[in-house]
Amino acid sequence: MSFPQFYEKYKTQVFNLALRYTGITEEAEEITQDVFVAAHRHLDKFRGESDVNTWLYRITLNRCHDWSRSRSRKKRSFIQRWLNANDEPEPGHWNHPGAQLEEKEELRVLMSCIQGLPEKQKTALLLLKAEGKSQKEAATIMDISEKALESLFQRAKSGLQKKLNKTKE
Amino acid sequence: MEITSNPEMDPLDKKLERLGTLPEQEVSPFLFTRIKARLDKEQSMKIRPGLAWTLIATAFILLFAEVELVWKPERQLNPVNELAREMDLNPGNTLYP
Repeated sequence: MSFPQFYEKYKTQVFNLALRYTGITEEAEEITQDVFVAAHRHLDKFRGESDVNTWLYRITLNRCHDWSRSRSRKKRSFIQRWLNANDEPEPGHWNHPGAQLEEKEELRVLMSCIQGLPEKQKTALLLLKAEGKSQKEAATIMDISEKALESLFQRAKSGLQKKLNKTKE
Repeated sequence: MEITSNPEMDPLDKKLERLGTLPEQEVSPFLFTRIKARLDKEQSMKIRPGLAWTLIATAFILLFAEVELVWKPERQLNPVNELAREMDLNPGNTLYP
């Protein structure tokens, strides 16, 4: 498969995953660019469809986590971070163009709480819920056992619930 | 055991599932051009380190040639210089009256 064909086939999947995560079209485009530039180097190493899919999900989510980390670094100085080590993340600029106006605020708070979760928990939650992957597929993408995924998911859910309750207080 | 959820029972699951049902967005038609430009730039950057190494190697060869072909024979062919060097003297003022 040539690179333009590869891009055409997977662009929507990569872009929409990044967009759901960041909620900012420009950032999702940046992440998509990074993913396809990296994919260009690996193009001849892929073995079959499932290999490509797993790799793409993995690399896209990694880039999303990098983006989230760099954003929180920029937002708070070292001293602020040190003083407020356990602070909840501020509701970000999540503004998915597909979200309806009345649900936008709720989803924005939800996403900012998800982004405050540990990376593996966040990945498990997004793959299972936002991406609708089966437990087996998500475990393959994350390269962990289904049992480990289940435990990550339960911890993510309870962590997320706590964060959401805090925002309501 | 498969992770299952009942949106009616759990409001958190309901919210999470809403994330998954957000309509897919179209990718900008210019994105591929931007990716292509980045790939081309990366390709040209790959040539630059190669060029730098070639220049360093050429400089090294020239330096080596200067020492081996010009500097060394000159010293060896001039017995006065050799003698002065052995005697730890300055050939200009000491060996000639």
